[in-house]
Amino acid sequence: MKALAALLLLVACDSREAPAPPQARAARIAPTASRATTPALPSRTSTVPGLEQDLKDVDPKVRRAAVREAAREADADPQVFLAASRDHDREVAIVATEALAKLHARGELPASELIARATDRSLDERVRVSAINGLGLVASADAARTLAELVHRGDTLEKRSAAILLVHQDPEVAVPALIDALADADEVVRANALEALRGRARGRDFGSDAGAWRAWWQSRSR
Amino acid sequence: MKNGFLIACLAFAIASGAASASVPSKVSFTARLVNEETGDVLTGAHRLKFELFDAATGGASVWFEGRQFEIDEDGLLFAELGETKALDSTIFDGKALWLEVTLDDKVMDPRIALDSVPYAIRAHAATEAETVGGKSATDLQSRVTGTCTTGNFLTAVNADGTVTCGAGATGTGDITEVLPGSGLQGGGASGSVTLGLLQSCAMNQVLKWTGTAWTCQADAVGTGDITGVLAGPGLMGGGTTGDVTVSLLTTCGMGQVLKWSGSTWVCANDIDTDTNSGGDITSVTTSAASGLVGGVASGDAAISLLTNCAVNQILKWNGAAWGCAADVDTDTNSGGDITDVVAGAGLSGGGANGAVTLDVGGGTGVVVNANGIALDTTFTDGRYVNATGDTLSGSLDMGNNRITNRGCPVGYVKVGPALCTEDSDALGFTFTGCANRCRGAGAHMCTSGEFRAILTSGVTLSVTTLQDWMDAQDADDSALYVNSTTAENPDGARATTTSSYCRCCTDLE
Repeated sequence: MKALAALLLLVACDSREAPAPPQARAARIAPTASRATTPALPSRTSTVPGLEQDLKDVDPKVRRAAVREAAREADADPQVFLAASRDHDREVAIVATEALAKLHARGELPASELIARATDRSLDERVRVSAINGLGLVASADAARTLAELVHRGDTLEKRSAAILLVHQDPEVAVPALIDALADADEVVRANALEALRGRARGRDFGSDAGAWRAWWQSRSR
Repeated sequence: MKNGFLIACLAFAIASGAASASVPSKVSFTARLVNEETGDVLTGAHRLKFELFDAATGGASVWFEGRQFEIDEDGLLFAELGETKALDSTIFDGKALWLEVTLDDKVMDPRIALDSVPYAIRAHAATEAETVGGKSATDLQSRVTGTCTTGNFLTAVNADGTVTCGAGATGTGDITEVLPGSGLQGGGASGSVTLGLLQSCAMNQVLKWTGTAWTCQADAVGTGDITGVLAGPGLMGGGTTGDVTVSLLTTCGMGQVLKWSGSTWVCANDIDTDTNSGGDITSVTTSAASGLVGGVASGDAAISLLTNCAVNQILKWNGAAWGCAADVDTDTNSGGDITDVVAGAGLSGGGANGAVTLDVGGGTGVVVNANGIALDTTFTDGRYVNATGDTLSGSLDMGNNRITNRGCPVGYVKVGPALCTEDSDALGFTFTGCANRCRGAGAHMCTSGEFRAILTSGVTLSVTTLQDWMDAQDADDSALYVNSTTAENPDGARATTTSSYCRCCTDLE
């Protein structure tokens, strides 16, 4: 409970403040956005007859087809995807989560919903990847802080994905985190961070020299 | 009196009653001890030792006893000899004895001779022997003490033990008479005498003792003797009395033997019936045509070749007889001895005399070992391809044949006639990162077509292809990825700078 309290406190604080002790972040990276308020989302009625029933069918193939069909609808009900994103069938959950990502990109879904799924390690790994991608592709302070936290302290999946997606976020948050990631133990994390830094540096390439990258970034900030 | 004391023996008597049967007995000894020089009596405690000898001086000690005595004021000593050491008939056995008294380690002199009084002990023993073996003294012969002079012999023993001797007869112990003993008759006291059995008996009889007399009786049988001889199977004759004869059941023809037919003995030929011969050798014969000489019809047979030949010759059959001839190889497939060994193609060595050797000549790419020929595995040539690590230096013409049974690299799975794909994918790659990863592995990102082939192959991979990057783009900044587990609508598009999974494909090796 003490650890959980520390994490919840981190949510409320600015990311520049002192981070929580490492032992307090053992199991999960806390979302940096406010908890999703799903009931506040608008609920729409599907124009496809029987779609809601099919999304609850016992046959995963039916549910897969239904969620794909729902995803193609321009005004799909977010509640459908929020529920389907936690379906036991991996494919249903992925399609639903990607639909949520599209809604988020359109400003129809708060980042908190994707953060909740991106950081929920009880979900299938590939569902979490979809959530992280949906979160990272849209620049926001919440996304930037979440990804920076993930690249520092996430698991392998979270680190690698965050190192890729930080390129889409505020450089003030992303670049220092990416430079730090050059020293990560995982080779792929380092490669992803370097690729992201190269994208940000407009042709500059300091390789794996974190000091050079940091010097460049500081000079650029001035 | 050399010790200065005088012992005046006052009394010496048997302490135990004469009628008593108890032995040992004691002897009372009373004496008065006086200083010989002063005439004073000796009083008080003194140690005295009493010892009996078989002589007045010297001799052998037969008994002694010593202890402390209290001499009274008158110098009188009252002692009971035999109190601590028995005085019995073994000591008083009739011989003369003397008592020596030692006072306080001073031997009194002379010894005191024992009279008849103490000898009553012996007399007591004699009264015990009124009879010997139940015989009275009158029935006993006194000990013979007399002897005869040489040449005389004892003729009588007198009652007092003396003997009467007589002159010896002539001769030196010769037999003077032969008397017939039991069962015998004859004998005599002079001349040549004959002893014979008491009587003659009937044929085969013997003299037997009946317990009271010798009588003629049959040489009787005892228990266990043969009483009859009976003819068993194959025999005839026998009997229970007299001499009996036993013989084979019947006579047979010459050379025949009696054989058991299974039910009876019958005459039959003496045939060797063992399985490995058929008969004994009865003779060994030779003939000139046999090339041998010798042989006999009985005894040890010696056989030898017909004749001796010259050195290196052998016996050969000339069509009519055996004769000596040279040992010439006359088989039809040679024509004569080898005179030369010439190395043919691929060989070296050989020779025309002595022991020769042929060697296989080694060639390029070929090595000759001690036991065979093998390819030289160290030899390289564009025409030859080693199984591992070698490289063709020219084109390989397969002659329109196919290379079959090709395999996939480690970690890859064959999913089509010529396609291998990774069994599992790797997480957290951008589109570019995945392309680089696959190139670095000598493979390539699986294309959309290859993914369709994978999805329709029926091959079950360890990890699903879902969210794997495809090597296909629909815009500069977006690429395709697998977003369905079916081949109907397998792909979607996402930004190339998003996180996805990477799976590589490669052609069959």
